[in-house]
Amino acid sequence: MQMKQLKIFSAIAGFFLLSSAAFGGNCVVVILGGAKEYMTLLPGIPTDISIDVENAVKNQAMRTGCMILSTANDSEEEFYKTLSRLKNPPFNKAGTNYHIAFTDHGAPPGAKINESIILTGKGHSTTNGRFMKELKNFIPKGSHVTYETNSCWGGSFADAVFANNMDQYFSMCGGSSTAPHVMSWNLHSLSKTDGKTTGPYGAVGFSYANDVKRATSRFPGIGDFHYQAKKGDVGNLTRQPGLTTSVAFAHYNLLKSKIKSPLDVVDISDTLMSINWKPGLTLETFINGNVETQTHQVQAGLFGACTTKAKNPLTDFMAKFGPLYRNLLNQQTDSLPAPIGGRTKLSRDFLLRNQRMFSSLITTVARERAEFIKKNQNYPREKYANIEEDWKALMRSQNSRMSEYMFHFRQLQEGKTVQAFLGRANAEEKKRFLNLLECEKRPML
Amino acid sequence: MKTALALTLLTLITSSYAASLSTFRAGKIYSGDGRWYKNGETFIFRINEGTGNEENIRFSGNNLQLAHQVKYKICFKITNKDCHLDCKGELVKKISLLNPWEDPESWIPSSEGAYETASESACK
Repeated sequence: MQMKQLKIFSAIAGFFLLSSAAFGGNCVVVILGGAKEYMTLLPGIPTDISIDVENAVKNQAMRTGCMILSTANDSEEEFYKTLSRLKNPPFNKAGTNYHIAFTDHGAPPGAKINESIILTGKGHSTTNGRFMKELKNFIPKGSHVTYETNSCWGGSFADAVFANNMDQYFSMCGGSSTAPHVMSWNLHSLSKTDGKTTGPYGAVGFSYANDVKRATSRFPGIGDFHYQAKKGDVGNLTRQPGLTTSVAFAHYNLLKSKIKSPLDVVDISDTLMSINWKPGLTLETFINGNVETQTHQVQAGLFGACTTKAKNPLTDFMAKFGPLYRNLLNQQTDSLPAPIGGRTKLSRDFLLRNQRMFSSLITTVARERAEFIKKNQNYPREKYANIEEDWKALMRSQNSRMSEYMFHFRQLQEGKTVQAFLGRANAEEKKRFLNLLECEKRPML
Repeated sequence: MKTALALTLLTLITSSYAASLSTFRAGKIYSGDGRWYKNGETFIFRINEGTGNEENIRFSGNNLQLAHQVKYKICFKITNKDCHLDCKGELVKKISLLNPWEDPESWIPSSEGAYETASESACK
């Protein structure tokens, strides 16, 4: 009964969205909500995250002035019936730009990319293969089609785009919230503090796009949408943030050639946030140590100078992180095609400028964790939830202080991936990559 | 006859469909980190909490005396069917309790899209 009411409500809302935006420009936002289920959960625990992500994205999409077509909780046939409306007025005006927003979290992968699942409703799904085929039926050839996805399961949507040559049939490109095979960690809503917008990937991106449209009368390219969305998607910044189609193309080409992609060599956020203590003598010694000396040791570790014989989680961490840091900072990627070259330069400059601050932050993170564990190591069982809440608050605060550094490290990692790809790509692959970059620069809507 | 054939076909189609979407296999034993919730006689073990891949496995009892909201590594058996987002289980073993400051390990699907089952010895 609840599901039925939800569907009726969605249909009414969908009609309202369509009718209220029908006189917008030649642009259409297609929101694919997937499965929405209000599970019988315990009090105070949020419902399925895809409900909140869809709401946040839809709220922002409504402000674009574009037409909106949305679907959720549908069978496969209902899903395509809704999408088939793209073939007819008012959605099919010549020169229309389309943006596809996936707001569901996805489903387990199939054995092949075209067999991988896109959820259309609870227990209902379609495959990447059929979706791509139908898209070619519904949208005129050559149209500019962008996408965003926070699906974390299985094969990435970019992979499906390449497998079906969608980027050659349309001008098609987009971005994702997390790297393939990394689980997306979505925030539930959009918020703005101190001029910084954070929230679910797509909602942050749309919020930025609307700001640009207001200021310049043009929407940004999906490349800029992705750059800003990634910065604000702090839930995923502390994991492995997603890629644009062009960088994904470089990444997949390396994998296809059995070359390890620099993006897969190390998970920066896991590495950077991996300093953990266990109660014991090491923890005591570290807490009683001098902060300045410890910060100096961290900075020396970044430069590659080994100055300590102390054995503790921080020195173990520096032994692992120091070489990674130097490897990323020493690359020469400034001459890579725009915007990648410029962005890696920006990131490297930022990291060099803030080296001292970064060292101090690493020391602070290590000390705060050590002090927390020392203070709470004998917690009584009934205080479990309170202690955990305090720990989570500390993690949120540390992630937030670290997020800008993580963002820039990831930019450098992407630059290295593109560099490795261009170093071995043939003329045709280079052309396809550059076309994707061009697609990402064109106004998304 | 026609109805029976149609029903058989439908069963075949829906069962293969369900299998393709399943992250857990019926009758298999799994081990991994998650959080235990209880509310009256409702018990849930939540894995990949806060991520898009969150799963809630429902249990009809709490024979291991697990505590509400506490993170554990446990073994459980899937009892209802091959499933995804709608799974029922039976507790097999408590392996360890995680401290409030320890992160549960993520559950990663195998190449078939299902989670890895536990080795028999780990859950005995």
